[in-house]
Amino acid sequence: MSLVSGARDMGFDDNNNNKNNKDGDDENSSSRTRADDDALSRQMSESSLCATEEEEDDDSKLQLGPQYTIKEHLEKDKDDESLRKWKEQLLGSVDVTNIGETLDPEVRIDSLAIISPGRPDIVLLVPENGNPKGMWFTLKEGSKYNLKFTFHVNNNIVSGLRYTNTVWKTGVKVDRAKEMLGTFSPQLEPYNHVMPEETTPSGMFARGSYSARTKFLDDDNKCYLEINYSFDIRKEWPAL
Amino acid sequence: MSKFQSNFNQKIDYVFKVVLIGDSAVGKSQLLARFSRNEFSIESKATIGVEFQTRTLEIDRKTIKAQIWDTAGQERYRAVTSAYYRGAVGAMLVYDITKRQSFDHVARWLEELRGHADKNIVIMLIGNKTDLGTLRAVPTEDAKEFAQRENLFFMETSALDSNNVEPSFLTVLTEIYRIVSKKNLVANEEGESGGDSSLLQGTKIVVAGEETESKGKGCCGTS
Repeated sequence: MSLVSGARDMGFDDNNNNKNNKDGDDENSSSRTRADDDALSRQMSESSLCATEEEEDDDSKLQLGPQYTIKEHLEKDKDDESLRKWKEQLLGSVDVTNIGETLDPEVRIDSLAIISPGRPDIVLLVPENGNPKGMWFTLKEGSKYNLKFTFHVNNNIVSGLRYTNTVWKTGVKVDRAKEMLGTFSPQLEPYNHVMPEETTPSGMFARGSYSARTKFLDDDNKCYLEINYSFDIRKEWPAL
Repeated sequence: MSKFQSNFNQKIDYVFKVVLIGDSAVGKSQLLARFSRNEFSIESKATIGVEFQTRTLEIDRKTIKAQIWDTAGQERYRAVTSAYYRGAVGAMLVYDITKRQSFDHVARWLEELRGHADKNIVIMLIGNKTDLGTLRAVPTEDAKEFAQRENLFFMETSALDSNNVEPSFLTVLTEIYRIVSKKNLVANEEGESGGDSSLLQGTKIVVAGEETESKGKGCCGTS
């Protein structure tokens, strides 16, 4: 649904695809499909650590104005009492102990949790290397759930933090989701972001193993985390 | 359309927080000034030192205080964070009809808004500066189509000659009131019929308001 215009450099490094500069393409356009094929082929690779943005296709032209360090923010118009107060509100509870002169925000995704009514939360800690071993979790088919992300923001404001998730079943891409979490100021307390409710698919064809790739990126297309993992959908929840 | 009148002697029944968002220099502060004080400041400096403006009005015999937040120009420095959106029940997403880029950014602002705000938030897309019609770079149809697709209200306004400013805010506030008072929001939890998007896709909200007495999504007259 992006309306951003202009050619995009999708940064393929192993497969020069020159059909991907179409604007505002919808889900079914040919350029998107080819990008996905590429994503699929590299899915097995162990080394794809945020290096390429093959799936990030529509926001790369966005220019949101200059980025300033927190210190610069606070020093601008600091004689103006009302603006100073206003900034405090805009910035929220900024971590002033570590008043940043660093331009780049640091975003650390601490955990992903799966919250399903009547079930204890499944809290998944993100491993250091971003690639959980084995089946990361098991979901019951046809269940309602929310995903909850817990993350820390340090150094500077992260603008337009978003989540993308791509899911494959037996090598075929079955889902791609993208959701903006928003813009967050650095603070000591972690942020919790609960995603809208979802329902796991059900039926014979829905059950089984899936592989997935989750990424967290910002407006500058900087990737803070990429996780590649597997999960199951079964008839029942696993025994507690 | 309901009657709107200020009545400061009454107790306040509801306070509705509404945020203004959009690129800088699209006229957000001017719209706000128009609505809250009905004046246009020709000296349009970047916003400084405004927290929010309020206006009290009456909808359906209830006294509503509209608390409208402006970004104070800080969106230029990416300083508008989650704290700004907290508790907002309405949003005016403004672009400048003479600046294509400001319209191209609407999708991004909308995403951010939806990330931070309550999912039942009422959103009005506003194409401002209709007084500069000869310089128009964003066709009304494009914006109308976008608004329909995204379930937004849509109007074109001029903060300069005040055209449609009042109706745009009132439409949003009336819709918020309808939702709050009747709780008639329907969350459409079925995924898109496309099938493959239902696994981990965001929930789409259908605001049950197509038939609202105000002209709703169709009202974009610039007469």
